[in-house]
Amino acid sequence: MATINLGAIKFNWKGAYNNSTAYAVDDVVSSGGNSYVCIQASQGNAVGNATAYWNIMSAAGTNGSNGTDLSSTLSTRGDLVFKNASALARLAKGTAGQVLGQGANDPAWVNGSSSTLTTQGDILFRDSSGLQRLAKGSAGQVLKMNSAANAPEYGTVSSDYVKIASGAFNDVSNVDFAASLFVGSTYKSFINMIELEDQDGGQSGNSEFRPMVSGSPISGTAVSSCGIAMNSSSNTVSGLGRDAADSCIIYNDGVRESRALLQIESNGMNRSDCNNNHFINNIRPNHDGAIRCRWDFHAVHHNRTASSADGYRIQMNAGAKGTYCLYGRK
Amino acid sequence: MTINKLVIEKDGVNLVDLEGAELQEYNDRISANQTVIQAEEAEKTAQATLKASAKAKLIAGEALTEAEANTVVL
Repeated sequence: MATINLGAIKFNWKGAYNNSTAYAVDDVVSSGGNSYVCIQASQGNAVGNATAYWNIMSAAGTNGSNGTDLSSTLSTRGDLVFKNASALARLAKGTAGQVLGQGANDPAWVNGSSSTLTTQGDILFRDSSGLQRLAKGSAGQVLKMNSAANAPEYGTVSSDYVKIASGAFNDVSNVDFAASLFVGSTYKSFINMIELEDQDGGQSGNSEFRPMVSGSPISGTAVSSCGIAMNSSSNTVSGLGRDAADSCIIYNDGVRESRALLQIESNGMNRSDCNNNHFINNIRPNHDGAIRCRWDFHAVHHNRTASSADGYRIQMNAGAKGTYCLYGRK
Repeated sequence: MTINKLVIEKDGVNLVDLEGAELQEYNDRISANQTVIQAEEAEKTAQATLKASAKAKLIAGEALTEAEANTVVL
């Protein structure tokens, strides 16, 4: 029976090209990542594209041309890969505590709250680049915007009426409000609200309001004062006057054991353009438990020298106690 | 009882016992002020007495002294 040689009806995979192997048409070998098909039987003819014996069947692609070689892009443990405007790019690993955020286009590591906030009381805010720490403020401060209005900050509340000093005292004879409290360049006037109480409950004694210069009560005749006093048990108004003196006598019937309210308003303190004037206003309950009070009002003028450092003393009998709160008014 | 002074500065508070001349000055002033106050009280009492006497004499139609008259004449 006649036979017809149809040749190979399928490709014959021969594995890697071997120079010692005899190849027939349609044998397929691999070499250098390419595949070649034999188009003419031979032995010892190296593979190649479009030679007399071989044609390339499939070419190897460029190594990583579509995905970049990630092993060279990601150089460090923890790196991430992302697509930038033109290609895959490396996002270097962040630092401990950072979190992955999204910028306008590309991702970026940003500080997370756990690493940004280091101290009790800190708060978190965002500046132009990311989360930032605002360290806690000090006692009494408030949170406000900075002068550029782009970040918060702690500060004091600006006011025309500012508390300068406050506190309590016990078992004292004199209370000196020093010149350093009265900054004349900042404040036009001052209001000092004082509670006073005689510690031993006595009625006797007296108190003085004594202008001070450079830490000491003044002497001489630079002070003049006048005032009125009334008791709730009578409608009699008693006049009080003291001219060319060094102080104003207040509480001339004693501070007493019930807390008195003493308010001193002053102007001209440590100012070169004004003498010192003081309103001294006080009310005190009766010492014997009766429903009775006494009210005194004193106007005190201190003809000060321009260079003096002004303060004042409340001089009392020993053992007085109370509280004070001094405000400045701009 | 201790005689002292509480000095309140802008940056702190300091309690100081008075000694020597400062203590003496304090005691002298307390005493002097007491004298002033006693004199004021005595003056008030005297004026009240004169006023009462003037009132009684006016009611009785008797002549007033100048001091009594001063308590009722402005």
